[in-house]
Amino acid sequence: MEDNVILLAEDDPNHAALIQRCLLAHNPQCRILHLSDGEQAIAFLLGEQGHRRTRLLLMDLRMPKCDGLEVLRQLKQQAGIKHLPVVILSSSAAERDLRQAYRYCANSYLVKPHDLNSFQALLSMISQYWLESNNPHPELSASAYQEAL
Amino acid sequence: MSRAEPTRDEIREHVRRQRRPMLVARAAGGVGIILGGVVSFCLAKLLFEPATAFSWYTPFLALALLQLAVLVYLRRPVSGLQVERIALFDVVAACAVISWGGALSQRTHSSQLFLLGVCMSAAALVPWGPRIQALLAVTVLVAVQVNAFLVAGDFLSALGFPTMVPMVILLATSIYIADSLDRTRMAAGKEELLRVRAEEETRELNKKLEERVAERTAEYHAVNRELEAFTYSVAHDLRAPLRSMDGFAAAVLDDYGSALDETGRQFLRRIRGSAQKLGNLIDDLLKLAQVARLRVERRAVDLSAVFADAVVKLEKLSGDREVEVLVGEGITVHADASLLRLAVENLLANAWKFTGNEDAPRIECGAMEDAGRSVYFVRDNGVGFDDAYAEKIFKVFERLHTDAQFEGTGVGLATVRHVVERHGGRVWASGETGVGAVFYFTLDEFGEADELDEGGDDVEV
Repeated sequence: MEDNVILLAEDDPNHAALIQRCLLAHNPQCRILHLSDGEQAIAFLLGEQGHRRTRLLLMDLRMPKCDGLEVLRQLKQQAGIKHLPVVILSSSAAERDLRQAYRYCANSYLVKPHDLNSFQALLSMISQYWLESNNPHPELSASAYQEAL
Repeated sequence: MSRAEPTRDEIREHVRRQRRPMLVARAAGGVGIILGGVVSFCLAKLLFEPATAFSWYTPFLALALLQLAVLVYLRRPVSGLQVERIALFDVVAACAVISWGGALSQRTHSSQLFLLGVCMSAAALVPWGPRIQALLAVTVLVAVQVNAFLVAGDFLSALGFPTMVPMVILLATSIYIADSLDRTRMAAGKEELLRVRAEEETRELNKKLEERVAERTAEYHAVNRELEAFTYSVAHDLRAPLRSMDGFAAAVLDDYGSALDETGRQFLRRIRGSAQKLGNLIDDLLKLAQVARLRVERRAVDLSAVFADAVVKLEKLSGDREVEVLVGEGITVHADASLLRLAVENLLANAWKFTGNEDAPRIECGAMEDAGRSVYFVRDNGVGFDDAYAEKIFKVFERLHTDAQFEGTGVGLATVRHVVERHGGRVWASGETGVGAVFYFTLDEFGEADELDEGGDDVEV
């Protein structure tokens, strides 16, 4: 089983492929798990090992069955998982979506750029900020802190 | 909408419901009956005993004439209030006359009747409440009736006439007066009822209208929400495949570019360019839709700063271009900041674009006074345009140049027009081919054009 996975919840297979391509272009070593709707993402994250293995959730807002907001709402209520950084990658620049996402405690809200170059730049930035800027795993650091006590 | 005439029963029912006029009118009716008797008696006296006709019963004669005048007057439709006044007048007059008559007729109880008449007359003149007035009217009626019949009895015997004749006359005139009073009452009642019904109908119509307005407003909001959902899916669903098209074309260029010849790579670049262009067009259209949807929230905006910011933005986008830009200082307007920004950005981008082929591009923006209003302008020394097209360029998708000459979506100036119009202003342009163009706009020239939206945004979350 792989650890330090970037979980990608995205219903558009083309976008998913492009996002994966950009992430891999930035860091060929990163491991990405693509799930095509919110329900699968929740099932995975609430499952046995899911949340321990995940470092970052990249998620679209509009997905079939269970949309991004609903996933956010459920995740941010679960004690074990609420510290997992969630970055919303949406096509919508509507103010309402942005507000709602932040109301449900999204860590970041980014609008998908139109061209691949900007997309590449954006995903490199996300990857750098959330995975490489030497952030300890929030979940792990919390348990380490508790052990130290 | 035609209204049915109220039936007789309905009117009577309505009159009955109006308690006060009914009581007083009934009392007046009674007085009328008595006065009718008096009139007939006086006429009989004049006819059969003219020698003594102008003695003690002269007041009766005067009253009879007065009563006739009242009768004539009653034939015309009068309002409920008038009926009351006439009735009151009759009561007072009858009291006075009967009292005099009683006193003059030398009957034993005449002084008491005189006193009673004077008291009643005085009492009836006081503006009591409706109940007391009605009570007085009835009391006076009884007193008058007693006195009248006493006097009438005297004369009947003195004349030696068959008792039936004056009685019949008395009855006939009484019925006539009662009937005319009733007709007056009914006419007034009908008038009143029609008014009440009209009021009710108006109320009903108002209620219906309000309901309909609420319904329409709800419909409008529903349509608005639908439209919003539509633009949302346009943004999402139309743009998503474009992003893939551009993305995969770029991916092919990156990964397999070396396997293609220059023509192949050129084709892929064209695919990318088209995808991006369509993406921009969708963006511009969404912005245009946003202008129509958003509420205008006005506050003091530093227009000079907005001009300057837009210029900085443009300079960033086209790094190597040198454009001389002059911005008028200290222009403050009362407008919606984000909408105004959108308009100014579009105007400046326009000027920026069309000065692209100039050796010494120059853009000037500022404000001036014209006929008492502030006019803001953006002037450039670019390619300009033929003044004949000055109106056309503000329409969506209307363009004067091909993409090869100047790129564009044909939405920018339409957006400017929408923003300005939502601020109650006007936008116009003048140009000369090869010399340059000037775009002018005003704010607040006409009333704000977005009353329809006022309620709309409150509903939204």
